[in-house]
Amino acid sequence: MRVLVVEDEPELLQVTAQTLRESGFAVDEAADGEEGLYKATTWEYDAIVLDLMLPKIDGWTLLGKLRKKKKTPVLILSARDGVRDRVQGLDIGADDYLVKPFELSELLARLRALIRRAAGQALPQIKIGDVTVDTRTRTVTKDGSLADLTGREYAIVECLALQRGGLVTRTYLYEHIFDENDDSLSNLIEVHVSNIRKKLGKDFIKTRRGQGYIVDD
Amino acid sequence: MIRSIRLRVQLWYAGVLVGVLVSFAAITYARVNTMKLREVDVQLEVAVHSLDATLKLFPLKEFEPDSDKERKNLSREERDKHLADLTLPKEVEARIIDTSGERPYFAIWRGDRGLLKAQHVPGAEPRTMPNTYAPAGSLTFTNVGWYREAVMKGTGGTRILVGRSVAADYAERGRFAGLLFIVGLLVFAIGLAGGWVVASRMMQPLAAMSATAASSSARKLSERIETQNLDTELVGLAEVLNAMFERLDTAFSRQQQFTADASHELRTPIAILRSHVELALSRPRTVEEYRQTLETCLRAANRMSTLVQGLLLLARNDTGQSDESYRKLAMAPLLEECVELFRPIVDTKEVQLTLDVIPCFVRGNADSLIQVVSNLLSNAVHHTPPGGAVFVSLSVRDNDVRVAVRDTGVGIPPEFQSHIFERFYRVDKSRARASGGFGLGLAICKSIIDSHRGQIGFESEPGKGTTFWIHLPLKM
Repeated sequence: MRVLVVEDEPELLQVTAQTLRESGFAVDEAADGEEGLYKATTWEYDAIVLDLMLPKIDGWTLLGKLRKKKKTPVLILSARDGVRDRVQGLDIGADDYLVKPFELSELLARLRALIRRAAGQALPQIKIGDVTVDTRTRTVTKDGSLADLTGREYAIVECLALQRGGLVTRTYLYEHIFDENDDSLSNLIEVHVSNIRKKLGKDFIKTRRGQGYIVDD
Repeated sequence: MIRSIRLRVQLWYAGVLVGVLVSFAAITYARVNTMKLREVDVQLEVAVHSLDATLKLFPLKEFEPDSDKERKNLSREERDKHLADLTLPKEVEARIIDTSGERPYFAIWRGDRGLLKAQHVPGAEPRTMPNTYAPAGSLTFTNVGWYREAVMKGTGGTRILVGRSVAADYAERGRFAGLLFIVGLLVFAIGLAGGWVVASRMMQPLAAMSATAASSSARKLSERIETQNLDTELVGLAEVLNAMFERLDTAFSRQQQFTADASHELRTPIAILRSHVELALSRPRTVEEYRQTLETCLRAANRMSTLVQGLLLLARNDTGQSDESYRKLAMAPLLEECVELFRPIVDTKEVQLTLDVIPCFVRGNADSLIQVVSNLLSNAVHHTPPGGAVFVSLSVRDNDVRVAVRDTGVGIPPEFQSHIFERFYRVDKSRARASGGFGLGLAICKSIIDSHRGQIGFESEPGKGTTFWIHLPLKM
């Protein structure tokens, strides 16, 4: 899952990004509103973490402009805790609002929930045949036993499971699994997919030649 | 002292009403009384004159039984018939004494019953005698008990006395007074009730206004009293109240803004501190990673303490710092000390810093004033590009000491100029984190100068530079 963090406070940006990376997200960073708006409208993110008081373009304006183009889930992270601020943020098109200081675990849980809901999944556990993907613990079990997946492999499985039944193109996977700093080789996805097939069964991921992948019952 | 306007208005009203009613009743009563007496007097006068006219026709002498021979014109029957015809109003009684003959003669009439008695009565005198000097034909009136009497010198040496009881008139007058009293009471009661209603109605807009004022709590300070449908007398009051609401509203939102800003500035380092610690603890880290986390935490803690110090300083100045710590200060050494502090910085930045002083004194707190000058110097140096210059000058104008800090820096854009003394206001919205600015520096300067009863201000031309000045009262 790829997430954009827009935050002007360098130390807060760094710690949030690092936390998200350690939790398996691909993270892009933006230090002001202008950069944030540019990245948010250019790339496909699964979610955006947005501070409100930003230099150049403030969070409300950014959100307003973004909503004219995209439906990317947005979680506002702000030190402004007034009810009016929250209401305004949610009314402009934010999907969630978290007040600073916050607990990292809560930020992660809310982000996961946002991404899950955006994909039309209500529960943190997704069952596909005998495979269960638990987005909460970031684990995959097959026939009740834990599958030993790497971080990247899990990310691909989660991405496909959230889009179950739908075609997921390789470009989509690239955009959602690697962040802007990843220097990815084009065949890397294939390597990961073949490794996943070894661990979860040959038929778990079906290939549409020249188009992409599908995960389905 | 009665504290209710309504009650006071009511009392005044009642007083005026009582006065009007009493004088009205008194005048009416007196007038009616006079008219009644006059009526009686006219009646008596008419009776006197008709008796007198009769006497001209029939002198009393002729009533003597043995003087038939002296009768001139009329037969006795004719005379008696005439006399019987002369009836007085039924309540009037009359006595006539004729002393012109050899023997006094006396006659009594009573009302409609006519002549009752006509005979010689020795020494029978009317109770009231007309004034000796009163001309014939003029009446003299007297009250005797319940009687009103009038006496007149009549024809041929007669005295005519008429009288009537006025008891019935007095009784009627009493009844009329009673009626006046009852009607007066009734009018008074109605007037009081009406007055109360009027007074209440008069107070109604005030009550409505006070309701609006009472209902505007901190949350609803934006509410205003409607002045469009208000009476002209109350518009002034309403406008005064509205202006007060306006000021309260402004002060309150400024306070709210300050609290929001302060909490934002405090939350951010707390968020940094907390998140870094949480991240570091979430899994085992290397020593280097722990060191970095601790360094970050220290920076966040420093930031918080700087902010808290600034806020405390402002709060102290807001509550009115006592001037116990104020001393007579020589300004020149104070400025020299500040300038020396900045020497290393300006030297590395290649900014020229010059100081121009004259000896003068002010009364104040040295640490606070050093902080003000340092803040101004820091801003000036910070916003002056390398190769520029900062001038600090001390002068005396009238009774003020003027400290000016002039730079050749970027200047303050006009749209920001009216805000720069506001708390947490930053011209550079990227919050100048590198310099650790919170936007409190100039606010602190202003609060310190305010508590020294001085003035602070600036002139700025974008691109050319800025001059900040402070004026402090000169101490001789």
